[in-house]
Amino acid sequence: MDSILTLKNVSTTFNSRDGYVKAVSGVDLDIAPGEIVGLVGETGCGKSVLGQTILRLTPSNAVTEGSIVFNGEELTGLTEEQLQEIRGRRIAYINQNPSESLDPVMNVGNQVMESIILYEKISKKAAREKAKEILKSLSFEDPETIMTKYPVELSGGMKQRIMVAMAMCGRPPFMIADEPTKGLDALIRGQVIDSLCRFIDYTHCAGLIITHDLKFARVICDRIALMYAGEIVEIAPKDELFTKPLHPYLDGLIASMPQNGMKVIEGMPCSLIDLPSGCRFHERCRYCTKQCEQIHPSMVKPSVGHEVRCNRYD
Amino acid sequence: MKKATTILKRIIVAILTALFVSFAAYALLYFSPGDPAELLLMEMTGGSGLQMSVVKEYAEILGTNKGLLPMYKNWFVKMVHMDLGTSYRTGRPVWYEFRIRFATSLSLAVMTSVISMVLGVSMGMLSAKYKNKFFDKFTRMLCAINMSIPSFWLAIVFMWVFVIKLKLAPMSGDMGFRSLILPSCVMGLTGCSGLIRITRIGILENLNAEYVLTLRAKGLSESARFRKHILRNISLSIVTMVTQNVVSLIGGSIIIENIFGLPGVGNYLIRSIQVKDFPVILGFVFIMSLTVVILNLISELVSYALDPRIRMEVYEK
Repeated sequence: MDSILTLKNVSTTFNSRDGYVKAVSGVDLDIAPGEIVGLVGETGCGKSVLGQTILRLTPSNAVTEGSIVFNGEELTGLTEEQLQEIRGRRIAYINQNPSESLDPVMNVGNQVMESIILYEKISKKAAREKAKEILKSLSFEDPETIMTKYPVELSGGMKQRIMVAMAMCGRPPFMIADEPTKGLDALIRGQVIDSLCRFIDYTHCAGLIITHDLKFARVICDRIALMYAGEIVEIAPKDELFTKPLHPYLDGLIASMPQNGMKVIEGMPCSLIDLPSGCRFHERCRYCTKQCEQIHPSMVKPSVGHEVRCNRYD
Repeated sequence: MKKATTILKRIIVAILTALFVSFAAYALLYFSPGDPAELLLMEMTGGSGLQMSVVKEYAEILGTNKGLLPMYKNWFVKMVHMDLGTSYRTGRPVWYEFRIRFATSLSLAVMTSVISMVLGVSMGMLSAKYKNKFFDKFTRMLCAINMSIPSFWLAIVFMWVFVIKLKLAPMSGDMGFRSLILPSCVMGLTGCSGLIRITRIGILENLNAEYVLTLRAKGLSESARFRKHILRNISLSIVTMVTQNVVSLIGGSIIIENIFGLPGVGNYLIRSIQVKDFPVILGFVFIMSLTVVILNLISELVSYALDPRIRMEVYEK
């Protein structure tokens, strides 16, 4: 089947005061219609930047190279106005940090309605009904009251679900969610995951879900891509990723999960300004050889649908 | 209900504050050298050959020989009965003296506010739009200079340029609207620097806020993001700043009215202070400080209406 989103050799670099930050380098990714791909990795590995790069939501000091093809259309060449037609309507983006991501001085009802009116050009009254419907479908008990509330009056989980509701308004065929479960306790996380699942059922969309929560990724995704220092280092169907992990970094991540004893990976993620030579993970890798210090490994495919970037499988 | 009692409480506090301020102003003048009766008689007669007995008699008539607190008590009792007393110097009721001068001062205040707001907000917006470009840097430099210029100096420079050199405006005195232009420009300029900076910083901070990323991700155009969201978010700090400007204007206008010879409240107050016209000082300072406190109250109510976060805080109390 044709893929809905294809990233080819996508790199994003920030021109910062301390030098060029290579937040994303050479990412290739194919997502099929209806497929949910999880993007996991530690904080600062470039996963959020990759999500923002797709819709060119990165700050103005970012430069993106490579090709991003959505539904046969190249996104990198589009003007800002053309991209505005894609954002929200064709690709929804759920920002991380819901407590800061809603306009603090507008009630949430109006913020949801703003999206609906933008996409459907319907009257305020019709939009209000539609917003109620969407909130109800996300199991908000009293949509009418919720809509009169301001962000400051809602809990973090509720704000996150409002973000999900806003993303649903355009019935987009693709969705990017950045850390939707970050900073929420178990019960609320369950509600947010439930909302996201309803969203996916409602729109039948494909999606890229950015998270550092491997357990959550396993619940919601079809495939999981693992990122390290701006690169995808392993990608596999979700169960295979957990049963047959190939990359030493993934071994470490799985061992660090709470149910596996929380054994942490030694060392810190490398700086994205001064990238190490050879394999970017070699400084923390227990299988590190001379070769790893010099040769940057390329993606190899040990089995169907399972790719890894490691010199051990060359 | 709770809202009403809160506001009522604040109004009572406002009145008490104004009473305290007027009393403090009066007490300070009372203890400063000079006897009102003597000062007034000197002004009336030209100051030559005053006899002590006449001064004493006049003090008796005015009631200025009674001491600090009895005099204040007299004024206070009358004030409670809505009577601000009569001016020693003119013999007319203080309230009348205030009323006939109020229009000039109010027009000056309104024109000044309009000038500083239009100039401040628009320059601030442009400065934010062309951040770090020439316009922005130039504006910021002008602001820094403008902020450190005292308004009376600017007034004299303006007089020299526009009145003496260009002959565009009347020098001083009351010639209706025309004579208000220069003073309101001077005060408007003095007030606009702060507004430019607040507007510029507000816009730049909001542009980088997370919620704006959400708006971009929604597909909202730049102008819609600005009109519907950012403007509303920065309006709060602008309202606070404008109120501050208006408050400082009440003090600033005393000097400016004096320099331009405008028949306003401030000018009259200065002349009354010179002869220690206690009823006028007490009455005028009371009304002016009441205005200041009430303006602050209004500004708080506006922020309360504009910002749900402030509403939350009030509820939590």
